[in-house]
Amino acid sequence: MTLWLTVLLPLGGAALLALAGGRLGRRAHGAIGTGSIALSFGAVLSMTAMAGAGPGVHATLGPWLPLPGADLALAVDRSGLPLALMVTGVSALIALYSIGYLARDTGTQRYFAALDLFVSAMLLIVLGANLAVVFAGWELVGLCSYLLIGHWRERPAAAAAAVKAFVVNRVGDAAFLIGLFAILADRHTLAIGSLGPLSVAVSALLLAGAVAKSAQFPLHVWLPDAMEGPTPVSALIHAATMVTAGVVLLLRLGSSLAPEALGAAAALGALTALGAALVALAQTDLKRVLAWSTISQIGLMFVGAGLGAVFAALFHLVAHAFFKATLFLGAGSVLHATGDEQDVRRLGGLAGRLRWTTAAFAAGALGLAALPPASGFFSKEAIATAALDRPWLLAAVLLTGALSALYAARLFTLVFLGPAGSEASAAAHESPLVMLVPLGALGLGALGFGALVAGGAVALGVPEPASAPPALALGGGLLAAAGVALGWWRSRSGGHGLLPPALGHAALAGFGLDALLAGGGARSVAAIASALEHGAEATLQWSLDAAGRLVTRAGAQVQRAESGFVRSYEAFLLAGAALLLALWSLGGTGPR
Amino acid sequence: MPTTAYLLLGALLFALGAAGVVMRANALSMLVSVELMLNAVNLTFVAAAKRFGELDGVIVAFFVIAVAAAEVAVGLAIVIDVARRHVSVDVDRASDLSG
Amino acid sequence: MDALVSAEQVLFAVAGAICLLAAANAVFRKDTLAAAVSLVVTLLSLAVIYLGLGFEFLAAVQVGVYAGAIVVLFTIAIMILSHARANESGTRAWRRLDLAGAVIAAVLFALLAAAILRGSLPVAVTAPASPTDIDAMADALFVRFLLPFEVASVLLLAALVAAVVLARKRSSEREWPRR
Repeated sequence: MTLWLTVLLPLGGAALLALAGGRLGRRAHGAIGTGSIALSFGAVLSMTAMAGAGPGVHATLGPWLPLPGADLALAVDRSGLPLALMVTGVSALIALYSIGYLARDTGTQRYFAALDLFVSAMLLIVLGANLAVVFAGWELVGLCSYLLIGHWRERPAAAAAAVKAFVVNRVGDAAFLIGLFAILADRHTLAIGSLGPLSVAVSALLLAGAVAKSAQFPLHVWLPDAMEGPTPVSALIHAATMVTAGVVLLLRLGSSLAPEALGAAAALGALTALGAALVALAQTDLKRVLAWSTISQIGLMFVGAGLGAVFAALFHLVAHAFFKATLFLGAGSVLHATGDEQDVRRLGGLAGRLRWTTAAFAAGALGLAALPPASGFFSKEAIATAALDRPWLLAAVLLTGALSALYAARLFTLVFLGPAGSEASAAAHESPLVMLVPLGALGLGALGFGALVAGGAVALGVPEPASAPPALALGGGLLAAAGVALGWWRSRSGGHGLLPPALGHAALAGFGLDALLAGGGARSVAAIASALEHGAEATLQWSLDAAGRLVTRAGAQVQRAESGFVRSYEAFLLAGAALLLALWSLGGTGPR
Repeated sequence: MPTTAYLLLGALLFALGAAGVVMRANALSMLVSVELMLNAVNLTFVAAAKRFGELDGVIVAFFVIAVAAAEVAVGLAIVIDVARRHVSVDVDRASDLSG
Repeated sequence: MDALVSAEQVLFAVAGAICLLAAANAVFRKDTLAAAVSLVVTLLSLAVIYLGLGFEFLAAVQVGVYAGAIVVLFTIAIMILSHARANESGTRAWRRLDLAGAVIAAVLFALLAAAILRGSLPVAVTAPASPTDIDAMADALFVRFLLPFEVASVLLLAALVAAVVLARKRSSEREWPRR
């Protein structure tokens, strides 16, 4: 039952906020929002501590859909507890941070309610015992993402971004759902443990769902735009949790997926990782760098999951959650300090004024760059190790690592070092404590988590494979160091373009995919919808007109009988009488 | 005299009246035709009374005559009134109730 | 005497023929006055037929009320409307109606005749049970059918009033014709 508490506590928080939050103040919203998540974290923690809690724990709330294996059931598999811990823990910290970040916001009731609902839903994905529950959570996180991206409702860009996120996710969700139907038709159950090997087609469909949710190529276009939402939202949903749901799905289904699909996942992940890293290098918007970076890092996780390296993928997922969340919250701190200045060309020199933020951001950047002893180093090594026998994948992983170091250093240098790029930057002030505490906590995690796991102090619940060969570790570390050095050196003078101009321009535009999808896809869909609408309307109009014309014509015909001519009246009268007479006499009731 | 003969005469008179009602446009002629039809009906009733040996048919004919009187009075009054408006007794012209 | 045809049959034949001819004349004459006179002839011949059937009272009523009062009314109306014309010949758009009228009338007669001839009415003779007794008549009118009798008188009163109201001159109107 404790298992269900983890889901129900934040859900209760959301319900409470939704129903009664109108009468409460902003502080109460934050307190309820954060508190319910924290309690959920406590529940997970207690489960972890309990003897016997671990893979295999099962808890059913009751029957749900009239389908086999579709109860309201949670089950802890090998990745369940670490993920639940991460989700609730990071979410609680970010919720705490949000209290400070949204101190002057009027929509806190909506915000925290959506946040709580999100945590509940994410836990359903992580802990759901069958694909029906997982899918429910899947959809709900999509909904919360929409609500939270568009939190500042009066901003058209935010609303558009929210819609875009939802619609692109929908494509993946549709594939997911079709896959579900196929599984149901074939295996007659949705319980995750009893699926057995799935076909390539079904695996591909499920993979498509994961690709959309995790913002991999080609369904990644929504993530950079999602940065329109508040920064804590970006930290939580678009770095640590929701976007990792695709990876979670791949990990949990694991051996059930067809090998071809897994191979495709790995290849796709590698491609995405590399491409996104290049794009991140060229971005000038603070949050967009981080967004593309997320896409890239998740690509690495896909590589790990595709190779079947559950430990590596899980490790990197959690490590990435820590350092990316740190980076985002740090960015939020910067925005808070400079009055929402997001252009890195206009930032700079913040190290002196925002000491704590700088330190935390540095920790996160180290993680991103995968420099030891930051967590990113160990987790990336794990993935690289898994890819040892696949040269192309290995090369992609290593190259991505180098690029990540490069843009991480560039970002840090441009924002925190060097001269101030604008007045706002020069007048920055440090954030309040309520924001700094979570920031610091996550920064520490970014630094230390990796070492703890690699050193065996923290168990992830998955058997640890052989550790990285020293050559790989050394090589990776050197590459990272080189990348950092290069990035710092080239950026310190304020120059922000590290790529040759042609490549840089293309990269800035995300290599045109977004424009392509928007132009071709979105416009043609809109055209079809418009045509259908007009067609339907025209048809309806025509049928109404036709009905009206029919009535009018019929009436005109009838009107001819109202001629006012007495004689024709009489003629009809007599004719009718004759008819009746005929019927009567010939119809059998007449005289025999 | 077989009853059929009277009935046939009645039918003939009725048909004549019917033809006149439709074919004449003069209001007065139409009224004459109507009277003819009424009389045809009377004849039928009377023949039936004779045939069945009951007086009821005769009584009906009697009342038909009474009602016919009333009808003629009112009908002629209407014709006169209409004729005042239209300066003619042509019913084809008096199609005010059209539409 | 057992003649080939009885007196009654002759009476019927003659009266019937006159009736038909006069009826046709009355219906189809353009001259309404002549039509009215023909109508009188028709009515009188019918009265004769009633007499032949033994219904004297009815024959008397027919002569007095129908041929008497009603036709007189007609005649008065015809006089009043003598200069109102009906355009019965010439441009009449309703030739179709004429044909229709003839056709309908023919059809009606055919149907009626068929019904009459097919009906198995036994050949009735005029002799037995012809209650022309005036007592029986009185009994019928004033006892059995008293209600219809009274209602009919009310009807006549109503018709009288209606006719007067409808036909009187409106004070605002001039005498006709209205130009």
